Amino acid sequence: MNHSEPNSGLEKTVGTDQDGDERLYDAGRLDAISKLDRANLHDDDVLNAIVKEAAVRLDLPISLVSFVLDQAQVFPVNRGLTGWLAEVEGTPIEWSFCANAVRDDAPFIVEDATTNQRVKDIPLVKNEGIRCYAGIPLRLPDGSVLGTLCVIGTEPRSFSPDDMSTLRHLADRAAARLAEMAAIE
Amino acid sequence: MSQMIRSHGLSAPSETAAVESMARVLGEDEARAVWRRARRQSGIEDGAPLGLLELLDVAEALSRFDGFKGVMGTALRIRIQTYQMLASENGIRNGNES
Repeated sequence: MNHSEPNSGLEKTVGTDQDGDERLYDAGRLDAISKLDRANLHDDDVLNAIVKEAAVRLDLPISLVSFVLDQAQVFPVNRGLTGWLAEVEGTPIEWSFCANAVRDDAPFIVEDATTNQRVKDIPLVKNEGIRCYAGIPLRLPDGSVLGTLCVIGTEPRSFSPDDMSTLRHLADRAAARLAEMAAIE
Repeated sequence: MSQMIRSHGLSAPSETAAVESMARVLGEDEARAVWRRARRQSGIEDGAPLGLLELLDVAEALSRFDGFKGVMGTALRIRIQTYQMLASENGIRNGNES
Protein backbone atom coordinates (compact mmCIF):
# COMPACT_ATOMS: atom_id res chain seq x y z
CA MET A 1 0.00 0.00 0.00
CA ASN A 2 1.26 3.45 -0.76
CA HIS A 3 1.23 5.40 2.44
CA SER A 4 2.29 8.97 1.92
CA GLU A 5 2.78 10.25 5.43
CA PRO A 6 5.97 12.29 5.88
CA ASN A 7 8.20 9.45 7.09
CA SER A 8 7.18 6.97 4.44
CA GLY A 9 9.84 8.08 1.98
CA LEU A 10 7.19 8.24 -0.71
CA GLU A 11 6.40 11.93 -0.63
CA LYS A 12 6.00 13.55 -4.01
CA THR A 13 4.72 16.89 -5.08
CA VAL A 14 1.65 16.98 -7.31
CA GLY A 15 2.71 17.62 -10.88
CA THR A 16 6.24 16.27 -10.77
CA ASP A 17 5.67 12.59 -11.54
CA GLN A 18 5.88 12.01 -15.29
CA ASP A 19 4.31 8.53 -15.25
CA GLY A 20 1.57 9.85 -13.00
CA ASP A 21 0.98 12.78 -15.33
CA GLU A 22 0.67 10.41 -18.28
CA ARG A 23 -1.88 8.42 -16.31
CA LEU A 24 -3.82 11.58 -15.44
CA TYR A 25 -3.99 12.86 -19.03
CA ASP A 26 -4.51 9.47 -20.66
CA ALA A 27 -7.25 9.82 -23.29
CA GLY A 28 -8.44 6.24 -22.71
CA ARG A 29 -8.97 6.91 -19.01
CA LEU A 30 -10.87 10.13 -19.78
CA ASP A 31 -12.93 8.26 -22.38
CA ALA A 32 -13.90 5.72 -19.71
CA ILE A 33 -15.06 8.58 -17.48
CA SER A 34 -17.08 10.02 -20.36
CA LYS A 35 -19.21 6.86 -20.39
CA LEU A 36 -20.41 7.83 -16.92
CA ASP A 37 -20.27 11.61 -17.25
CA ARG A 38 -23.90 11.86 -18.29
CA ALA A 39 -25.27 9.00 -16.20
CA ASN A 40 -27.38 10.05 -13.27
CA LEU A 41 -24.95 8.91 -10.60
CA HIS A 42 -26.12 11.59 -8.19
CA ASP A 43 -29.39 9.77 -7.58
CA ASP A 44 -28.11 6.20 -7.75
CA ASP A 45 -29.27 4.36 -4.63
CA VAL A 46 -26.44 1.82 -4.69
CA LEU A 47 -23.65 4.40 -4.88
CA ASN A 48 -25.32 6.65 -2.32
CA ALA A 49 -25.61 3.72 0.09
CA ILE A 50 -21.93 2.88 -0.39
CA VAL A 51 -20.85 6.47 0.24
CA LYS A 52 -23.03 6.62 3.37
CA GLU A 53 -21.63 3.32 4.64
CA ALA A 54 -18.05 4.54 4.11
CA ALA A 55 -18.68 7.67 6.20
CA VAL A 56 -20.49 5.78 8.95
CA ARG A 57 -18.10 2.83 9.23
CA LEU A 58 -14.98 5.00 9.20
CA ASP A 59 -16.69 7.60 11.42
CA LEU A 60 -15.81 10.57 9.21
CA PRO A 61 -18.03 13.47 8.12
CA ILE A 62 -17.33 13.43 4.38
CA SER A 63 -17.23 10.64 1.81
CA LEU A 64 -17.20 10.82 -1.96
CA VAL A 65 -17.14 9.01 -5.23
CA SER A 66 -14.72 11.25 -7.11
CA PHE A 67 -13.84 11.28 -10.79
CA VAL A 68 -10.42 12.73 -11.57
CA LEU A 69 -10.64 14.59 -14.88
CA ASP A 70 -7.79 16.32 -16.72
CA GLN A 71 -8.15 19.75 -15.11
CA ALA A 72 -10.60 19.18 -12.28
CA GLN A 73 -12.09 16.57 -10.00
CA VAL A 74 -15.84 16.10 -9.75
CA PHE A 75 -17.87 14.46 -6.97
CA PRO A 76 -20.90 12.83 -8.64
CA VAL A 77 -21.88 11.08 -5.41
CA ASN A 78 -21.04 12.80 -2.15
CA ARG A 79 -22.00 13.11 1.49
CA GLY A 80 -21.12 15.76 4.05
CA LEU A 81 -19.85 18.53 1.79
CA THR A 82 -20.72 22.07 2.83
CA GLY A 83 -20.43 25.61 1.45
CA TRP A 84 -19.02 26.17 -2.03
CA LEU A 85 -17.77 22.57 -2.26
CA ALA A 86 -21.36 21.35 -1.95
CA GLU A 87 -22.44 23.85 -4.61
CA VAL A 88 -19.73 23.10 -7.15
CA GLU A 89 -19.29 19.39 -6.35
CA GLY A 90 -15.72 19.51 -7.57
CA THR A 91 -12.43 21.42 -7.45
CA PRO A 92 -9.52 22.32 -9.73
CA ILE A 93 -7.21 19.34 -10.23
CA GLU A 94 -4.27 20.94 -8.45
CA TRP A 95 -6.27 20.87 -5.20
CA SER A 96 -7.17 17.20 -5.53
CA PHE A 97 -6.18 14.58 -2.96
CA CYS A 98 -7.76 11.92 -5.19
CA ALA A 99 -5.49 12.79 -8.13
CA ASN A 100 -2.62 11.36 -6.09
CA ALA A 101 -4.34 7.97 -5.98
CA VAL A 102 -4.83 8.11 -9.76
CA ARG A 103 -1.24 9.23 -10.39
CA ASP A 104 0.10 6.47 -8.11
CA ASP A 105 -2.51 3.92 -9.17
CA ALA A 106 -2.65 3.05 -5.47
CA PRO A 107 -4.47 4.00 -2.27
CA PHE A 108 -3.60 7.45 -0.96
CA ILE A 109 -3.66 8.04 2.78
CA VAL A 110 -3.14 11.27 4.68
CA GLU A 111 -3.27 11.13 8.46
CA ASP A 112 -2.37 14.79 9.06
CA ALA A 113 -2.69 16.99 6.00
CA THR A 114 -0.78 19.85 7.61
CA THR A 115 2.42 17.81 7.59
CA ASN A 116 1.99 15.84 4.36
CA GLN A 117 4.32 17.21 1.66
CA ARG A 118 1.93 16.44 -1.18
CA VAL A 119 -1.10 18.26 0.19
CA LYS A 120 -0.09 20.59 3.03
CA ASP A 121 -0.12 23.71 0.86
CA ILE A 122 -3.35 23.20 -1.06
CA PRO A 123 -6.36 25.42 -0.27
CA LEU A 124 -8.53 22.51 0.85
CA VAL A 125 -6.09 22.15 3.75
CA LYS A 126 -5.10 25.77 4.31
CA ASN A 127 -8.56 27.31 3.82
CA GLU A 128 -11.19 24.59 4.08
CA GLY A 129 -9.96 22.65 7.09
CA ILE A 130 -9.37 19.19 5.63
CA ARG A 131 -7.02 17.26 7.89
CA CYS A 132 -7.27 13.56 7.02
CA TYR A 133 -8.05 11.55 3.91
CA ALA A 134 -8.10 7.96 2.66
CA GLY A 135 -8.93 7.13 -0.94
CA ILE A 136 -9.03 3.86 -2.89
CA PRO A 137 -8.79 3.94 -6.71
CA LEU A 138 -12.00 3.05 -8.56
CA ARG A 139 -11.02 0.80 -11.42
CA LEU A 140 -13.18 -0.46 -14.29
CA PRO A 141 -12.64 -4.02 -15.61
CA ASP A 142 -10.60 -2.60 -18.53
CA GLY A 143 -8.11 -1.20 -16.00
CA SER A 144 -9.16 2.45 -16.30
CA VAL A 145 -8.92 4.29 -12.98
CA LEU A 146 -11.78 6.78 -12.80
CA GLY A 147 -11.10 8.37 -9.44
CA THR A 148 -11.59 7.17 -5.89
CA LEU A 149 -13.96 6.20 -3.17
CA CYS A 150 -12.65 8.34 -0.33
CA VAL A 151 -13.36 9.51 3.19
CA ILE A 152 -12.33 12.90 4.55
CA GLY A 153 -12.19 14.46 8.00
CA THR A 154 -11.43 17.75 9.65
CA GLU A 155 -9.24 16.32 12.42
CA PRO A 156 -6.00 14.33 12.05
CA ARG A 157 -6.46 10.59 12.52
CA SER A 158 -4.84 7.29 11.70
CA PHE A 159 -6.34 4.62 9.46
CA SER A 160 -6.02 1.05 10.71
CA PRO A 161 -5.64 -2.01 8.47
CA ASP A 162 -9.28 -2.79 9.30
CA ASP A 163 -10.32 0.73 8.20
CA MET A 164 -8.52 0.30 4.89
CA SER A 165 -9.93 -3.18 4.38
CA THR A 166 -13.44 -1.78 4.89
CA LEU A 167 -12.81 1.07 2.47
CA ARG A 168 -11.28 -1.27 -0.11
CA HIS A 169 -14.30 -3.58 0.09
CA LEU A 170 -16.67 -0.64 -0.39
CA ALA A 171 -14.56 0.67 -3.30
CA ASP A 172 -14.79 -2.74 -4.98
CA ARG A 173 -18.58 -2.56 -4.70
CA ALA A 174 -18.63 1.02 -6.05
CA ALA A 175 -16.38 0.08 -8.97
CA ALA A 176 -18.63 -2.87 -9.81
CA ARG A 177 -21.67 -0.59 -9.81
CA LEU A 178 -19.90 1.97 -12.00
CA ALA A 179 -18.86 -0.77 -14.45
CA GLU A 180 -22.49 -1.88 -14.64
CA MET A 181 -23.65 1.67 -15.34
CA ALA A 182 -20.88 2.29 -17.89
CA ALA A 183 -22.00 -0.81 -19.78
CA ILE A 184 -25.54 0.55 -19.97
CA GLU A 185 -24.56 4.06 -21.11
CA MET B 1 -6.95 42.12 -16.22
CA SER B 2 -7.48 38.72 -14.61
CA GLN B 3 -8.02 38.79 -10.86
CA MET B 4 -6.60 36.25 -8.47
CA ILE B 5 -8.46 34.97 -5.45
CA ARG B 6 -5.56 35.47 -3.09
CA SER B 7 -6.91 33.33 -0.25
CA HIS B 8 -6.91 30.26 -2.51
CA GLY B 9 -4.18 31.25 -4.99
CA LEU B 10 -6.67 30.79 -7.83
CA SER B 11 -6.49 32.83 -11.03
CA ALA B 12 -9.54 33.38 -13.19
CA PRO B 13 -9.84 30.66 -15.86
CA SER B 14 -8.93 31.92 -19.32
CA GLU B 15 -9.37 30.78 -22.90
CA THR B 16 -5.60 30.52 -23.34
CA ALA B 17 -5.20 28.26 -20.29
CA ALA B 18 -8.17 26.14 -21.36
CA VAL B 19 -6.79 25.51 -24.85
CA GLU B 20 -3.32 24.82 -23.49
CA SER B 21 -4.65 22.19 -21.10
CA MET B 22 -6.70 20.55 -23.86
CA ALA B 23 -3.55 20.42 -25.99
CA ARG B 24 -1.91 18.17 -23.38
CA VAL B 25 -4.31 15.42 -24.45
CA LEU B 26 -5.27 16.38 -28.01
CA GLY B 27 -2.19 18.12 -29.35
CA GLU B 28 -2.16 21.81 -30.19
CA ASP B 29 -3.83 21.75 -33.60
CA GLU B 30 -6.73 19.52 -32.63
CA ALA B 31 -7.21 21.40 -29.36
CA ARG B 32 -7.59 24.68 -31.27
CA ALA B 33 -9.99 23.07 -33.77
CA VAL B 34 -12.15 21.54 -31.03
CA TRP B 35 -12.17 24.85 -29.16
CA ARG B 36 -13.31 26.73 -32.29
CA ARG B 37 -16.17 24.24 -32.71
CA ALA B 38 -17.25 24.68 -29.10
CA ARG B 39 -17.15 28.49 -29.49
CA ARG B 40 -19.31 28.31 -32.60
CA GLN B 41 -21.79 26.00 -30.89
CA SER B 42 -22.04 28.63 -28.15
CA GLY B 43 -22.84 31.28 -30.76
CA ILE B 44 -19.58 33.14 -30.15
CA GLU B 45 -17.71 34.52 -33.14
CA ASP B 46 -14.12 33.49 -33.82
CA GLY B 47 -11.73 35.91 -32.19
CA ALA B 48 -14.30 37.61 -29.96
CA PRO B 49 -12.89 38.07 -26.45
CA LEU B 50 -14.41 35.86 -23.77
CA GLY B 51 -15.45 36.97 -20.31
CA LEU B 52 -15.99 34.37 -17.64
CA LEU B 53 -19.67 33.90 -18.46
CA GLU B 54 -18.92 33.33 -22.16
CA LEU B 55 -16.13 30.95 -21.18
CA LEU B 56 -18.69 29.02 -19.13
CA ASP B 57 -20.97 28.85 -22.20
CA VAL B 58 -18.10 27.38 -24.23
CA ALA B 59 -17.29 24.90 -21.45
CA GLU B 60 -20.92 23.76 -21.40
CA ALA B 61 -20.92 23.37 -25.18
CA LEU B 62 -17.70 21.37 -24.95
CA SER B 63 -19.14 19.17 -22.20
CA ARG B 64 -21.78 18.00 -24.70
CA PHE B 65 -19.09 16.64 -27.05
CA ASP B 66 -18.71 12.86 -27.13
CA GLY B 67 -15.94 11.03 -25.31
CA PHE B 68 -13.03 12.60 -23.52
CA LYS B 69 -13.56 16.00 -25.17
CA GLY B 70 -16.80 16.23 -23.22
CA VAL B 71 -14.94 15.36 -20.02
CA MET B 72 -12.59 18.27 -20.70
CA GLY B 73 -15.60 20.56 -20.94
CA THR B 74 -16.88 19.28 -17.59
CA ALA B 75 -13.45 19.91 -16.04
CA LEU B 76 -13.37 23.46 -17.37
CA ARG B 77 -16.90 24.07 -16.07
CA ILE B 78 -15.81 22.95 -12.58
CA ARG B 79 -12.81 25.31 -12.67
CA ILE B 80 -14.98 28.24 -13.72
CA GLN B 81 -17.67 27.52 -11.13
CA THR B 82 -15.06 27.16 -8.37
CA TYR B 83 -13.65 30.53 -9.34
CA GLN B 84 -17.11 32.11 -9.47
CA MET B 85 -18.13 30.77 -6.05
CA LEU B 86 -14.91 31.86 -4.37
CA ALA B 87 -14.95 35.21 -6.19
CA SER B 88 -18.44 35.79 -4.84
CA GLU B 89 -17.33 34.91 -1.30
CA ASN B 90 -14.37 37.26 -1.68
CA GLY B 91 -16.40 40.13 -3.07
CA ILE B 92 -14.97 40.05 -6.57
CA ARG B 93 -17.78 41.38 -8.75
CA ASN B 94 -19.46 38.67 -10.90
CA GLY B 95 -16.20 36.76 -11.11
CA ASN B 96 -16.42 38.13 -14.64
CA GLU B 97 -13.89 40.89 -14.66
CA SER B 98 -12.34 41.92 -17.94
